[in-house]
Amino acid sequence: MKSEFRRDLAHQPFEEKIHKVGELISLSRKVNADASNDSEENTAFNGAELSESVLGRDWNCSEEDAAWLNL
Amino acid sequence: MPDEFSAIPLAHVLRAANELVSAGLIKDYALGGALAAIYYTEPITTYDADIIFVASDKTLSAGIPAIYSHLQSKGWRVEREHLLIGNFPVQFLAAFGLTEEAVREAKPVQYEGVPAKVFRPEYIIAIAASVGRHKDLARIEQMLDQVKIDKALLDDILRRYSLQLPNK
Repeated sequence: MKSEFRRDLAHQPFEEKIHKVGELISLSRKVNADASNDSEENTAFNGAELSESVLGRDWNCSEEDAAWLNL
Repeated sequence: MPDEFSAIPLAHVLRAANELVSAGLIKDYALGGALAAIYYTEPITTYDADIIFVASDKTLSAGIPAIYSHLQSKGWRVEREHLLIGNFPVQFLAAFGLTEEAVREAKPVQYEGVPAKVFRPEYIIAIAASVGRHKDLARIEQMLDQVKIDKALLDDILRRYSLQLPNK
């Protein structure tokens, strides 16, 4: 069944097949671009995590706890 | 280069190759590689076009500097081993031996009204067998599955160039 479908595709006009390959290329570029954007978002998220861990060194100390004890 | 081209500006590529013939910079050419295979098979992803040419200049450079210079004057850009039309890479490869015969015997076609030539399936298979990368072996399998092959011609080419198909 799958082979028959692929053979049918093979019999399409050359121009149409080249157009389909162009669509595949565009799709592939879009997926790569999206993946790249996702990667930037992940970097930003990791940056926030890193900031929290650095600030935490000051915020989570005993002096800081004592200063905020009356709240 | 403006975005006037579709993802694969094949008509522009073929027109440019015809101009190279008219200008006497190459003797003849044919479309090879994946795009030639797609002429016969289902569409598959490829990121460049291979134009195989018979050089007018029989020196070692095969006239490639003059070809590059001509195409650059028409707005093409050079990026490593490729010439780019729009953002689409094209390789101009000098033919010899099997590939020269493949150009000579290539099938005349029209693409969007542009006359061109495409390697015949038997030559695509033989060239793939001579290169032998994984993607070439996959191409052979795909061609044998989807394309009507002239078995006698294929056997003759394979024999004359001492080639074998995988699992044969």
